[in-house]
Amino acid sequence: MVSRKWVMAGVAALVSTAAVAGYVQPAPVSVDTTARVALGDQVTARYSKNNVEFIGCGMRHISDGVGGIYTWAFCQATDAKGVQAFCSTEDPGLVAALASGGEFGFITFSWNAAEECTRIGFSNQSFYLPKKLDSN
Amino acid sequence: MRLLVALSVAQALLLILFGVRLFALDARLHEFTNSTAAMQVEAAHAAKAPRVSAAIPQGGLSVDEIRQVIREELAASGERQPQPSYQASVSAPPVQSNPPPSADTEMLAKQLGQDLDYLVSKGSISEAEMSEFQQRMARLPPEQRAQMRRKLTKAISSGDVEGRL
Repeated sequence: MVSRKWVMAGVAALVSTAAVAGYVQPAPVSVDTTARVALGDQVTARYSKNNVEFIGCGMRHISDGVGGIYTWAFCQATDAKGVQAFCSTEDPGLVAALASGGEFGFITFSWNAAEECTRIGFSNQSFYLPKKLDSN
Repeated sequence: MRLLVALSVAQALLLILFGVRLFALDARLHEFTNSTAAMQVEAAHAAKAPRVSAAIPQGGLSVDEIRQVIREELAASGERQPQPSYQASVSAPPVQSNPPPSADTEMLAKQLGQDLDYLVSKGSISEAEMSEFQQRMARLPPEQRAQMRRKLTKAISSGDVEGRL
């Protein structure tokens, strides 16, 4: 047992370690107004080398003043060229889907001619995480 | 050259630290192995001891009997605790309690339309303006509210109103 440890220590001494951080897959924001699809990941957008690119979705819950809550959701994106997309929805299924979106994830959404969101997708993967969470 | 020497010293120190940790881990592994062996001995003793089983036949239960028991248990569980609907488990559906369209709501819708036109002419919308607009929009009946939301959405998506929600 002891000799095995020394062998391991020797191997560790001889092998230089490279700094690796796992697989990464940046997805810059893309807005296609013809196909009415936007996509991209939040981290790549946030740390892009321009000051226009962003993507995100949000929700609003507003009291209607008579005991009810009005809920609607929206998604918005602007790509590096400044092409922007914005859609909104009151559809309970899409609102619920939107509520499941996580931090630092990939977002994709589609909309129709009336700018109603018709599709909202999230993907929370390690390869979308920032390099170092504490260096933001 | 000095840097290389310093790095070598640092690497050597780290290796020593690594070796020490390795020894400590090895000792803990031994402890764990011993305790696992002891547990296995206890488990073997327990297996030999007579078990108390309620109404289980000598040859054990058949697959059909197990299925029947599971069905009965699930049925009993369902009776005791009402199952929440899928919708409720995903998210609480928005409560819609707005009144039907009336002269007041028509007036509100008209005012909101004018406000939005003003915001479009201004070219931007502040967070306070957006908040107020949405709160008034929420008081509209569902159909008019959806129309107003679409109008606001169009104004933002076309870039007529610059505002980030």
